[in-house]
Amino acid sequence: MSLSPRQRFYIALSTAIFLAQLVVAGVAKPSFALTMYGDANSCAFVILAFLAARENFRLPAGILPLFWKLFAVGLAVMLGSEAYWFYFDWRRLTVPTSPVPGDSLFILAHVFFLSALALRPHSLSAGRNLRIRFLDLILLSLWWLLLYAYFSLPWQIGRQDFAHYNPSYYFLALSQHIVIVLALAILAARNVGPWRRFYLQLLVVFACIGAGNFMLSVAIDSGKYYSGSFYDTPFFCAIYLLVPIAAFAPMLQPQPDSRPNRELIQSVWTARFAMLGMLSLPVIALPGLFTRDIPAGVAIFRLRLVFGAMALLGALVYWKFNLLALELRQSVQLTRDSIENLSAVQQQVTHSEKLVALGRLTAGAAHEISNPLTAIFGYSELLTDIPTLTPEDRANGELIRQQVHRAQSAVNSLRNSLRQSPAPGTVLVDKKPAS
Amino acid sequence: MYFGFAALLASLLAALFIPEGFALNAFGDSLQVLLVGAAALFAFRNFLRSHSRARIFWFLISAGALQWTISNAIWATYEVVLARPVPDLPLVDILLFLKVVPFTAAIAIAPDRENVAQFRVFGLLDVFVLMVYALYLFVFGVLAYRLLPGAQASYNFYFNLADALSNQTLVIATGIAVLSARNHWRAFYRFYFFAAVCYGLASNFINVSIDLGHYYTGSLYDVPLIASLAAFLCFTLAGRTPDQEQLPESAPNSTDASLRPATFLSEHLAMLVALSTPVIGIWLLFSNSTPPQLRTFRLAITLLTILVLTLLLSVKQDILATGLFQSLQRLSENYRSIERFKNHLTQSEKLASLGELVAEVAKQIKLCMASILEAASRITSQPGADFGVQNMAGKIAQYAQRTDGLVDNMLHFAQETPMRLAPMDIKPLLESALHLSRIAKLPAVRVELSQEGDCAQVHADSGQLLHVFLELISNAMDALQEAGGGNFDIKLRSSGSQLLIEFADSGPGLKEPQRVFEPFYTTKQVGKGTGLGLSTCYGIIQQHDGDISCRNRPEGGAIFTIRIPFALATAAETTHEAGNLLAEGVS
Repeated sequence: MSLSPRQRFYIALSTAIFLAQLVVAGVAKPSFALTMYGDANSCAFVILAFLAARENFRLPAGILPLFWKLFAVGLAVMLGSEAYWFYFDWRRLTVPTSPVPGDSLFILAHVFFLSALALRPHSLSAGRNLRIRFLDLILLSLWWLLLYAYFSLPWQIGRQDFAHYNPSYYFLALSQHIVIVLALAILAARNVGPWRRFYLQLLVVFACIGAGNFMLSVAIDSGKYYSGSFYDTPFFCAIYLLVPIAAFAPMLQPQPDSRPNRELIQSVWTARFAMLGMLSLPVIALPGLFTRDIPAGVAIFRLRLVFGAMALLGALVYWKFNLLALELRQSVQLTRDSIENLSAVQQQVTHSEKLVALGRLTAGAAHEISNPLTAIFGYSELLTDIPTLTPEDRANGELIRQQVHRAQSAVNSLRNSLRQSPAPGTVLVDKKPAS
Repeated sequence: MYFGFAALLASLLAALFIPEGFALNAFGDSLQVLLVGAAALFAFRNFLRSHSRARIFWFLISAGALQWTISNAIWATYEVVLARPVPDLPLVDILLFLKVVPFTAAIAIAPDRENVAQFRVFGLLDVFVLMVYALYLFVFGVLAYRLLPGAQASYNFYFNLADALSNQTLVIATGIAVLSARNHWRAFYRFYFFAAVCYGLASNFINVSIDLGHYYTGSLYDVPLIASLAAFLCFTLAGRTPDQEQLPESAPNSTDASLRPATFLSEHLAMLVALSTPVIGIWLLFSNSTPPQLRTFRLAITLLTILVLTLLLSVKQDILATGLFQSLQRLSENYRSIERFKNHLTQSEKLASLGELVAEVAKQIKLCMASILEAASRITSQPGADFGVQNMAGKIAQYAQRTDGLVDNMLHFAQETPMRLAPMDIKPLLESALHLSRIAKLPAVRVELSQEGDCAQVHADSGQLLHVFLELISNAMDALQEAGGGNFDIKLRSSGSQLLIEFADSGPGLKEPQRVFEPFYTTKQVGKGTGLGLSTCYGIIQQHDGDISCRNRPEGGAIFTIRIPFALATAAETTHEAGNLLAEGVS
């Protein structure tokens, strides 16, 4: 399979930028121009990856377009984050400006990547039952954002407390990357062939992003970081890899599931995870209520957040329950119908089995019947041969002979049709008896 | 009922004539504990005896009655046994208040409606949610004041308010239940309603009199309370009956209609209630009027309640989701087997149409035989016919009859008739199966049909059994053909109350004896074996209350064993008839 010219162009362009970046990062001294260059490059990479993913929107196979759309949305959000940092560096803003837009968008982008992976694009059955699963995915995505809002955000609202904000944000971002990498590892382990390769490639990408991001955080905290420096390389490398991965993706075809109803098990588990996420919120909030060493403002913000989130998530769950109950009722009704249908077919089969058995002993039956018929025929011959017979008896004798003839010819026709189909399963009997 | 009136009268008389003091207290307390305890006991007995929804209903009622009994018993223990004024125990208050929750929840179960088992558990979960919520509101609004020093007055006020509100709720719920109940439940609900109204009045009455300082146990203020207890006892006593006349509406069409209204209200109520807790939390955060200690406590219990409610809802959603999952799985399995059966039908179409042809021919032959028999009988009935003619006509009639019988068997076999069990002998049926299959005509095959001792008749459908026999014989024929000949033995013998039929062949034996009766299992080449023959046999024998099994013989070959119970009732009948005949013969 050959790549489209556009995809080839994207790959070539990203390779060029990547190589240039490597050279510049290795050679150039930190300066405003270098910062601008590095920031512009990271934006360009994300845009290229987005464009490469966009080429897959019109794939014909089932869930794949949706997968790439979610992926592209994630990239677009990530572009927003990068653009914010670009703006940040360009205006030479320094620490007092809030990092929240950039960081929250970065977290959000990964939520989209996770949702895309949760679709299990390798499976043919993935597209089924989406309506309910979407609600669960929304629940889970909201939960991730809430974690950010709960642990990191309060330290940037009304105060600028980087000592508290940074570690919690780094930890969240790292755990998110670990989750993605683990999910990819599981997906890779469960698949074979091109899909395993695909997931392994993505695994490398996200491991790079995660490791790069972590390294970068450490570098920022120790003051060694500047945009365009060598610390950006893992991130660039990862996004650069995404371009060919997306370009070669149309070669992947969804596979049938090894076990039936896999997507149903999957949806049950997605729902369980969503509920676990929801359960975790009050569990997180309860100890927070009794810890004394956090500022009152942060505590209040967190409580408001948890209550608000519970109200919102509860409403979503309510909606989902209605959907579930509706589906359950429908499927119970359908099951009932199908059972009726099944028993009707079974009855039909039982009857046909009988006829099959009867058909199988046609030869025996013809023989069994024709024996006494021959005897009757013989006796009727003898009877009509008696010279002293009254005309009335003779007429009866003739009648008997006639009837035996008829019966015999019926048996013969049976034998004929048997001869027409010597071995069962080869010739169809088209001679339907008149009813 | 009489006991209830007697208790009411006794308490009235006691209140009027026994002066205030220990004796009256003891009497009043013990009467209350006795009545409530008895009610709890009867409710528990109803719980043990009932089924499905009614069972949950009585479980909740007995749980409520038990709470009530315990709180009354604590009260009585202090007053009567320890003989000192009752201290202010939060446990008693909680129990006294919370008993209303299961009482109200029981109505929400809607025991007068039958539901699909799957939906029953949701009702219970929703009721749990509502119960947790009621507990939450109580702790939030009433119990929280116990934490505040010097808030005893507001605690009492809020307790009375909550108590009155909950009693009102119970009255309204029972009232609705009386109006909307179906069949015999309406009568019970009337008792229940009466008890609730009495209790509501009595408790308001008593609360006011306690606050005024007029109250003492056993006083006139207790009379309405005793009346409500008596009504409650009657209600639990009367609850014995519904179980006996319970009519589960299991007709498939009615269930769908009935599960909607029953689950609708409690389902949505539970969800709304769960949604209200975070809203209460937000309100708490924005209101600054509450003392900080109270606020923290309330926030904590709100979070705790959210946790518990979310947990309950998660359980519910898991049940819903797995239910849906199983249902969809069953659905797809059903569709798959329908598909397979349909496939099978088209595959066996050819042989089946041959069978149809046989049936058609049999019908035709039967007509011929009828007219032959008629003609023959006309000849034999002629008065002056000579012996040779008579003899020959007799022979013709005999053969015609034989043919007719044979054909009859085949026709009955081919008919799509519902199973008709009739007492019959097995041996002739086996003989005609052997004849029809022509197994004895196979080269180098020896067939033997033997019977050990006397075998009584069995209740069976001859067409169906013939089908089974033919199937087994044709199986044996295939096996023997494969082996190039051998023995085929059919043995009939009785074993206890069952007739044992053994089909033993000396063929190569079965490859997987345990899978032989599985549908679509076949070892034969495509187009020959249908894979359904033996599984159909299995079904038929099951319908005869019998049992079919197979194994490989140690000396080689397969053996199929059919067990069919003897027709015991008809055996008795026939001996009875024989007795009658004998009696007639004697007279």
